[in-house]
Amino acid sequence: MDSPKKTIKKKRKTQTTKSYKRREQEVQSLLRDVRISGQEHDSEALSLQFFHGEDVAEQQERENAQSETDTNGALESDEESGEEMTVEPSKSSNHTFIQIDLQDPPLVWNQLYKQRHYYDESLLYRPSNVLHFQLHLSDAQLSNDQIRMLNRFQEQAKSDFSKLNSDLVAQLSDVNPPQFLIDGERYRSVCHKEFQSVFFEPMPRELFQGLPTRRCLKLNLKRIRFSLHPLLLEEHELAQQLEDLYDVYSQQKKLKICKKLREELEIARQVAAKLLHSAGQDQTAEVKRQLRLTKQLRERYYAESATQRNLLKRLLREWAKLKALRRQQRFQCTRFQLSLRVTHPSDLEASYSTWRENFETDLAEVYREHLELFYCRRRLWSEENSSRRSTSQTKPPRKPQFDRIMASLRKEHDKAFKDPEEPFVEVIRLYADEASARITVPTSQQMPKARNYFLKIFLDDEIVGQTRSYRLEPDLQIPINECIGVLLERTLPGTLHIWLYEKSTLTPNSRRLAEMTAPLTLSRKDEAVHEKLSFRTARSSSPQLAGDVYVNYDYRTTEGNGGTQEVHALDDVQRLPEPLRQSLLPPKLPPMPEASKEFVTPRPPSGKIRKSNRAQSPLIFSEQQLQFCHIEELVENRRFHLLHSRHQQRNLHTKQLRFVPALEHEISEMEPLPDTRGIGSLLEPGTYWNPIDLHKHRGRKFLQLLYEVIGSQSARRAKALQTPVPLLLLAEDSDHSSATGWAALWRALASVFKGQPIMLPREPAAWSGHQPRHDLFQHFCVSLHVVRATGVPVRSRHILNINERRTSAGGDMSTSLFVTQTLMYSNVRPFVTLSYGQRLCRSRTAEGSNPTWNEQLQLQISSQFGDLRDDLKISLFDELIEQQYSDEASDLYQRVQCNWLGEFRVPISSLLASRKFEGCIEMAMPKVLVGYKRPLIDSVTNMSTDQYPEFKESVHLWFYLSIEPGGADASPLQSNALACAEKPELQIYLGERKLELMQLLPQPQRYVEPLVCTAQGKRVCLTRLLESIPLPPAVGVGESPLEAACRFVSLLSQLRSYDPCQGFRGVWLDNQTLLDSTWCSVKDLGVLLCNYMLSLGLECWLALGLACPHGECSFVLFRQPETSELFIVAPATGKRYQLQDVHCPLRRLFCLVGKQNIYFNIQTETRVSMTNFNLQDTTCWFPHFVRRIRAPHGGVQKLDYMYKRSHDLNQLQKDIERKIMKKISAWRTTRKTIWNRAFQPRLYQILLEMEHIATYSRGLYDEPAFSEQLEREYPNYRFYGFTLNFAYTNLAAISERIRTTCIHYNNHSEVEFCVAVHLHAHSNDVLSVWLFLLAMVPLVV
Amino acid sequence: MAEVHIIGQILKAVDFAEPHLYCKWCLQSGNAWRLVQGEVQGQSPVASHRLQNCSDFVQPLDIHLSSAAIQGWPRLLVEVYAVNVLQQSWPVGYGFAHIPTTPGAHRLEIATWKVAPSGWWQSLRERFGGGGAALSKTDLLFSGVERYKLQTLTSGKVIVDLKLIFRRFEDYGVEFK
Repeated sequence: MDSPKKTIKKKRKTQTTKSYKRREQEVQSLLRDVRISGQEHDSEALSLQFFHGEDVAEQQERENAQSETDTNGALESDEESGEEMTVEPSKSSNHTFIQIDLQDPPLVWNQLYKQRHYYDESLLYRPSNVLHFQLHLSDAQLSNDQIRMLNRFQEQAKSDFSKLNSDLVAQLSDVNPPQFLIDGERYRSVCHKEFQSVFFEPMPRELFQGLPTRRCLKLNLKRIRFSLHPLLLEEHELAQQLEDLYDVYSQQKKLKICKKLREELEIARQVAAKLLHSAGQDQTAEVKRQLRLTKQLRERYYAESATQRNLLKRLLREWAKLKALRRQQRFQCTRFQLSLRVTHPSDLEASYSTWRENFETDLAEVYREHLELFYCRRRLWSEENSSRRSTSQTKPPRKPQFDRIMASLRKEHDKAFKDPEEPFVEVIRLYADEASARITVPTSQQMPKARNYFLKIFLDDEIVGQTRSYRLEPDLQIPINECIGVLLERTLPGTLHIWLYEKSTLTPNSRRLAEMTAPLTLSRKDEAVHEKLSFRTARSSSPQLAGDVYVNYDYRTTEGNGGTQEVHALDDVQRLPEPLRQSLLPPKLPPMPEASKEFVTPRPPSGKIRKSNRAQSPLIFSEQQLQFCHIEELVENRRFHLLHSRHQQRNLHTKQLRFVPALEHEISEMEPLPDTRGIGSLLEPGTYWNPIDLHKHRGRKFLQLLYEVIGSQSARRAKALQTPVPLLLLAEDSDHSSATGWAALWRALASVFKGQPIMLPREPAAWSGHQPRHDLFQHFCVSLHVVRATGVPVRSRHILNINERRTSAGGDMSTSLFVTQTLMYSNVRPFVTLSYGQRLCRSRTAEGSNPTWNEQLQLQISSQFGDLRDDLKISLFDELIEQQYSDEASDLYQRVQCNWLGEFRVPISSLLASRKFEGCIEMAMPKVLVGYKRPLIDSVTNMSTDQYPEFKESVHLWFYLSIEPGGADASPLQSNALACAEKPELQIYLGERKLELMQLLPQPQRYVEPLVCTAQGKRVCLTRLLESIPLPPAVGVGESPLEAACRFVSLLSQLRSYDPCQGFRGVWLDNQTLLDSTWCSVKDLGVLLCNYMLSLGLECWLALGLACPHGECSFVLFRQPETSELFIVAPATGKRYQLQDVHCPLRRLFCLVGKQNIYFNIQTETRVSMTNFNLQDTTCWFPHFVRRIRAPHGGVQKLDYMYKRSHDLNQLQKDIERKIMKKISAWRTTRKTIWNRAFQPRLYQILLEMEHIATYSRGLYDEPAFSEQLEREYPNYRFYGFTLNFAYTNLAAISERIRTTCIHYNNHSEVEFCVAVHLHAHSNDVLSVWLFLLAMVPLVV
Repeated sequence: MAEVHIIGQILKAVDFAEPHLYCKWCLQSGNAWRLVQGEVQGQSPVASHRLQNCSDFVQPLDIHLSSAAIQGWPRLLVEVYAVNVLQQSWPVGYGFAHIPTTPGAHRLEIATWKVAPSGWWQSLRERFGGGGAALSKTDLLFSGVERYKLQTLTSGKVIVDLKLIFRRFEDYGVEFK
């Protein structure tokens, strides 16, 4: 290598030989003080590099290569190190260099001599010392540098598909190459870092020291804070919000924007005043500009101040909330503490005066601006008018009104600045020491195990270090406080990656949870950069985590290189100014071809995972999109039906099918395939079921199943949230008893002889949420205190006359007539019974139409808790005593007959839930009550009917009903645990509003959770339930659809069982589930009715509250469009009440749910009749959604619901009739029952009209016309009878209804009965049953 | 509305330590799949072999499924139970395999595992036929992030012969090659 090279080198100027170098070093050491030559070289190189970077780099390379060849030993060692670094170059390509200091070790690849020279797959150019192509003038021995240079140019030319310039080749391959080449082209090198040019102030050479190249990055990891964690409590959330707020607050305080603005404003004002003063009358543009500036400044000042004030307010509010929460939950698991320093204004006078002063200056200014605007407009207007006076006269602009301006300014001012009396509040964060902060976590929420986390830090994908692992504190924070220093040489990393790991307790490997990335920026001053990096684990991983890592970092210069100057130099580095850059730097090269760009992506720290991160976008697996067809289609496919049904072997038709066509269209439209699904499971084969009965039965089963499923699901979820379920169930526990020991052996032997099968152990039963208490027999004591009743119907003259005739058989006719006339009003002797199932107890008999009993009735019920399904009945009877005379005049018998007048049903489930009912109720009276009539008011008083309030159409009863023990200890449905379909923001918002609301509510039990569980088992906001849905077909075409809708809704069956799902926190059905099953709870009726009203275009709300017979239920409040009067409708009866009506069954009103909003009743008045219904009044009603957040809509109800036609009724009607006759005959065990069919057509005729009357004439409890007609038509009979009307559920319910009326207890020897049944069908098998029961005694005349 | 016919048998269990075995199986598929004909779960008789270490179940499978999507491709879950002299049984193998996605005849070997005994007493009892640990939740068989908590032992294999017929998948652009 030596001799030929040396000869070449000697000829070249810049190449140095060994001896030359040595000599040079000696000279330099001599001249060290002056440092001329070395420095000269340096600065020259620097400047060259600055403007022609590559050439100098090449030159450097050349030099360095030279220096490498100095010694053989050195070469070898270099080669060794080169071997180690063979992988290096492609990876470190993005490690870019700011500047090259010549004092630093050479920049050359150490493995130059070994590397081959091609584009490798990374498309990086790697130099080699062998020429790639043939040179024509190969006689001259080229140096390595030249070869490399030639190669480099050639590659460049190749990539451009051009040929290498022959001039250039000649120049380069010259034996004595020039020091610089002038080449018009520019050459690309692969580098991903965008270089930023820097600028140095020109300085004398001696002072110049080169660029600072070493820096120390000090990375301070402060702490980790989790904002999403399985252990996250409400308090954590609040505290974190507060912390963030406080950060903003403290930063604002530090910046002092307001103060600065204020000062600027003052200055601007003074300047403006001065200008005005000097300018006098004529306002120049300068003055105007100054005034405008003042205005802008003022507005900005207002805005800033207002935001600051708002922030402070919010901070205080949140802090109060946090404190309240801590107090409420009685433990504290976060450290956040604030202290408030409240300084009251020492001198109120002074503060008032300053306030006024400020305000007045502002006011004057604003007024002045307005005036100016006004003058300006006026001028414009007059000009305009003068220009076209003939055309339309526009109005002159109005003069600004001072009052209004003042008011508006006042408003803004109040918003932005504090009141003069308001104290000055300063918030300071307290960092309590560990000892004083008592951080506890409730035992139930004890962490399952200590979790350890640590962080790994990467700078530009190169690992820098990792922290120790830390345990998670109960406040979900991990204080780390570790400092990592990184010495950077000539590179500035672009990005900082931090990976969060969870240390696993099981395996030595730890799990990577999340990754954070942040760009590193150069801090301007000495201050460290504070960063908050937030992270979130991948969606698939469970549990989901999110949070923030607090980091600060700063760059420092390395010590030792001579402190202050260096720092100075660091600060001096500034960007090259734009004009200079344009003139000095060449314009940008065209961008790289795409392919190469992709290849040279920097190497990720661990290949696979990062690559997947960089994929375009995560693939979302959407089931719907990828489906071939709808699943419905699959379910409804006839061929599959046939096949499935044949396989099940249940259906006679399909059982014997030999052949099922393979193609869909080959199946002929045969007879409809009988639906066999479901029936088999519900019914044993062989019983005949009416399709309507079947529908009702299935509906009820469905609803019960739904309640059960949702109940157990929510219980399980709630349980799962609390305790981890054991994963393994070892057979050990069960085996100890059965498997081991002698007993087991004995049993096994016994089983051998007996041949009795031993049950194989089953899989352990799934955890069930059943409380065993439900199965126990319990004794309940129902006590009823009846006080009085009003408006009890009186016996009509007909019955009376008979009596009189009997009694006065031998007596004075005229006296008895007198008695009857005076006592006519009180000829009824009512008593009250309380009955449940077969048990009954009665009160004493009182006299007259307005009886008073004041008596306590008690009923003992012993039943299983779950079997309490029936209604508790309070019935009103009339005791009729007949004197009977035998042939001998001396014997006197009395025959007592009890005539049923009406009843009131209380579902025992709702009584159990609410324990007691009291007050005044309206008895349900039969529409037609033959033999009785309304009490005549005019016979008692002279007042007209409408003035005498208690004598209206209905019978009222004052009572107090209670049950012991109540069922309130049954756990409510834990629907909180169910999944929520609302956005998390909304949930948080609702939670916040709840806190606000709870402070306003006079009674906490009034709160109704706005997130309710639907039949889908998801929680949604209440407002979603309200939507206009299709009306039933009969309702849509009728003349008054509202009444028809009310009637329809009231005929749906209510589920009577004690189930927590029936309450507000239970399950809310949508219209499809409800109408398909025709069973529901009372609150669902309200929702349905409200939706009907919405689709009728009425303005209506759902009123949630407590009602008398149903407990928690919903009513509907609507506004009558004609009179704009508000009415409350009870959905269970379809009756409407005025707001002031004291007899309205709604006893307590909790909230009103509209389509747009939920209003909570925050009035202290509990009576509904006295409640203020002005929803805009915020002192009475608390709107749950304020303007910022809209209530969510829709999505629950099925909007295209199709009603089904009811089944045929004839059969059912006959069944009912037969059943009634059979039952009554059976109940009258001792006497024979005579059925009189002669009256049936007449009764049937009456019944036909009843449905219409019941729907459209609201109120009247009896139709006297009918009963009088009947009595007139058949004067030879004594009648007692009534109509019954209820929704059809099953035959047993009908017979139960009839039994409670006791019409069969008629001991008269000649009594005849008659029954008529009429069914009125609405759609979807909603049936209204009308019965007419008549007992008649023929009169012997 | 593609259809899949699964015809075949659960042939035998091999390499189990216990001699008397029976197998519970069920076929599981996703939401978009519906059963048309056949039984999707069952239990084989207790089987043992006098000479070899295997038990032949020869449990026939004939299932006709209809599907509306590829997702939720059916899979066969097997649980192998051992029975001892006292007629007690305990699980000795859990395993599952997806139904192959190409039509034709296949032989699946379902490798199974069982829950490892938690102590020496347990292992001793298991040794002498006293029963082992069972999973309380069978969905751990095929899913569940909690699976990693289990300590398991490898047990034998269940061999299943299947013949698959796919119908009308090509209408929806799914081809089997």
